[in-house]
Amino acid sequence: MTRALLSRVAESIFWVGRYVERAEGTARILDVAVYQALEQSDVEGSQAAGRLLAVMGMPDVQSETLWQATERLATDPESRSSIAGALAAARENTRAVRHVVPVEFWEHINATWSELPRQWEASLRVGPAPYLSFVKTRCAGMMGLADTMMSRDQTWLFFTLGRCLERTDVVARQLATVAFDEVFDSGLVMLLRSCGGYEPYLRLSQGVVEPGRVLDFLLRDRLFPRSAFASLTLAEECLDQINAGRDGTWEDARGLVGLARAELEYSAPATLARGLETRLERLQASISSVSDAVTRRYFAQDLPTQWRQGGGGA
Amino acid sequence: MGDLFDGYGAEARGLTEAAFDEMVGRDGSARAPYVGVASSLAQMGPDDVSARATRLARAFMDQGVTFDLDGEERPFPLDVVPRIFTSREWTRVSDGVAQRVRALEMFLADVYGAARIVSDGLVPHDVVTSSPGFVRAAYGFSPPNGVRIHVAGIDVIRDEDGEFRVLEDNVRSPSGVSYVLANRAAMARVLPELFWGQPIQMVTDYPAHLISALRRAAPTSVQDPTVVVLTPGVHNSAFYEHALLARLMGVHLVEGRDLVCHGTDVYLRTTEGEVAVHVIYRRIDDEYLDPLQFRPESLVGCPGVLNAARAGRVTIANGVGNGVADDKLVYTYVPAMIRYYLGEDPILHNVETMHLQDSKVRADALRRRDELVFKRVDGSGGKGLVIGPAATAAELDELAKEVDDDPRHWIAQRVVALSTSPTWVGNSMVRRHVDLRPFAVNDGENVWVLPGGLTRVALQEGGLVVNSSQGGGSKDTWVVGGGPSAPALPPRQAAPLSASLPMDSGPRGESENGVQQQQQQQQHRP
Repeated sequence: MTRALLSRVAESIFWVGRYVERAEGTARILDVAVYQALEQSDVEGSQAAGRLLAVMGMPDVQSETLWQATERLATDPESRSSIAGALAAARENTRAVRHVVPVEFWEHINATWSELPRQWEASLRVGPAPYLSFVKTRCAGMMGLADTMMSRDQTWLFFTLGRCLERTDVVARQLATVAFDEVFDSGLVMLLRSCGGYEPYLRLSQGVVEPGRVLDFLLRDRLFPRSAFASLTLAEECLDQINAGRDGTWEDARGLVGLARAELEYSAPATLARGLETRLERLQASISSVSDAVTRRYFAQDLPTQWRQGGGGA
Repeated sequence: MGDLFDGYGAEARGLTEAAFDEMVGRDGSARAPYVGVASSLAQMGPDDVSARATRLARAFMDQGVTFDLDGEERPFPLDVVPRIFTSREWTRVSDGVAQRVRALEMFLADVYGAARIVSDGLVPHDVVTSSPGFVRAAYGFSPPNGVRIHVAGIDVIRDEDGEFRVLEDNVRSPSGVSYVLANRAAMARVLPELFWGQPIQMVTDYPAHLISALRRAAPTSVQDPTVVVLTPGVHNSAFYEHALLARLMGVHLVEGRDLVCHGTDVYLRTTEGEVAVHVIYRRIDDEYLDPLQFRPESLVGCPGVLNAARAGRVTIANGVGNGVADDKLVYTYVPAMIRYYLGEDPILHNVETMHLQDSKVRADALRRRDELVFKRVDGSGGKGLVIGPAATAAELDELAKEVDDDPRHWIAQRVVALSTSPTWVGNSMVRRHVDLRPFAVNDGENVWVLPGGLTRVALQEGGLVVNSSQGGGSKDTWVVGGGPSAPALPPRQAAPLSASLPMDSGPRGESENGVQQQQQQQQHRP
């Protein structure tokens, strides 16, 4: 069993993982959406804007142009769905626990955060590409530092758990915006690219882009680390280790992740697309429940505030 | 138009002055499709335009979009001003190119078979058999789906009147398509304001068309063919392109030493043993392809591969022996081929060309050698090309001797003033000559032409040679309006997700905590 971590510290590091992953995922989605719209003459950019906001869970925001949507998702400091908001939250959380993370990790995230406004300013002149590529590279750097510098103790386990849950959530969100029964090739390519899986997929399929195969790849490829299955499997391993030594007792988070993973793993390929919409909703809901269960079990335990909130029906 | 274009073209002399300008009409006003781009650039001002040009160059260096010249990797300069076609202009080019490819396919099938066109007297027998690209080993062989020209690059220029003309056909291994893809991506990232509001036909699905055509060219018995791209290796000048195509098609990029023939089957050497190969998209010349058939000293080919192709076990794309169809002397017969095989009038005309085997014509051409262009019939990449007005007397005398010794291997043409396009050189907008290489993919049922193609630009003042090896650059090439690729996004993709959940977020109350923590700290401030 690894050494126990303060609940507060564990919670912060878990959210660092989620927010960094979210910033990276958002950057990928934006990069593909904006430039595909430019290159493919979506003149108004409104389709792309609508899709973007839908993916990010903001379908109510109406009448935005693609540029407005991009700016909002890239820079809005108030929203934790935006890149700047997510990185600010990641940095805030890291700052609170900087004593347990490698110093390079903290410096990297802090420097990234403080550099963001300048990067965006440059992007105002030439479009978001440099900003997005900065964010992608820096997030990859954080992941790399975590993987090469951290002990595989609970700090790393909670960080990675957060990453995996967020990654699954991002994939599910993106899949949910594609109508698989009537999608064009270009829509599938866009989906694959914004999940970072275009080239691995092409090598696997020898260049054939097919809705069923794409769905199968993104949901449950075993080797591609961004597939829902691969992310859930790693999340499961993290929870196993966090919970080590207490085998045999039911644990909500572990159980929920396992169920979600098993549902993907043991569905016949032909049935994967059936009822896809509800399947994806279920997957997204599972991720939220897992996150809540992790919070209850490891972070909140039984704080009086939790109890009072429940009683007050708030 | 603003300052940026003030005095544009004023410095043009001679051929450049006589040329058709892509952007500015004879009356001095900008042609309609250029208006938006010109005003966006003018708004930027010279300093910003220069800064963007620098960014484009750096983006290409970072991405490794380079060609290899004398062992050195260089970026292929990309100009900030795109070249723009209306969809109507483009339809003419595209139809003309497709027509030409169909005729050349039929010509190849014919000359490697019954040779009707020769017996009917349209093309002389010796023109075919004396062509450096004619390969006897290809005789009597017909490819699985009848396609020999899987990919074609038909070079098109615009003459002084703005008329499109074919300058040459490339049906062996035409290169340059990677720059079309890279140029579009780089331009969108560095100069997004030029794109906004322009319904530009997309180019990104080229690899999808290519892989589909290659798969359909596989031997008929194969269900799920393995396709590979065969490159001479990392030191080849077009290696970047080979790697890009392999990556975007999701197939292996192989060198000759990665392939092995057993009997009439070709295999890849992999970590999991030998894997059968069915389609080889080769980017090496015929004569290096198979040391058993051609040059025995070739190290970049694969011994036995031609035999495997003849046995119908593997498809080589483009076909072996295609060189006879893009021979520059055979070029002069293409309009006749179009009438003969297709019963159609040629949509695109040739440039007037002199047959130097006729001694009277040759004497006349050589007398005027300082005003004509001479080309070797199998030359490419600016090699074997002598432009009379630009050559020295010594070079021209040398040329005259070569032509007299071997007239079959040379042609002469008048010097066409290639059309010009505004190009950012140094710190100003100047007229530079451009050509165009549209790319066509033939999948056996349909000849698809990539909308736009590669525009190359001669960066030297008055220069007419656009090859990258001769100091040429390129331009992103747009086809604006119309076109089948306009409704690119799936219709229901933007369907709002009422059920989409808001994103989870971490513990709130940090701000409250933060305020309290700050208050604590303030009390201790000295």
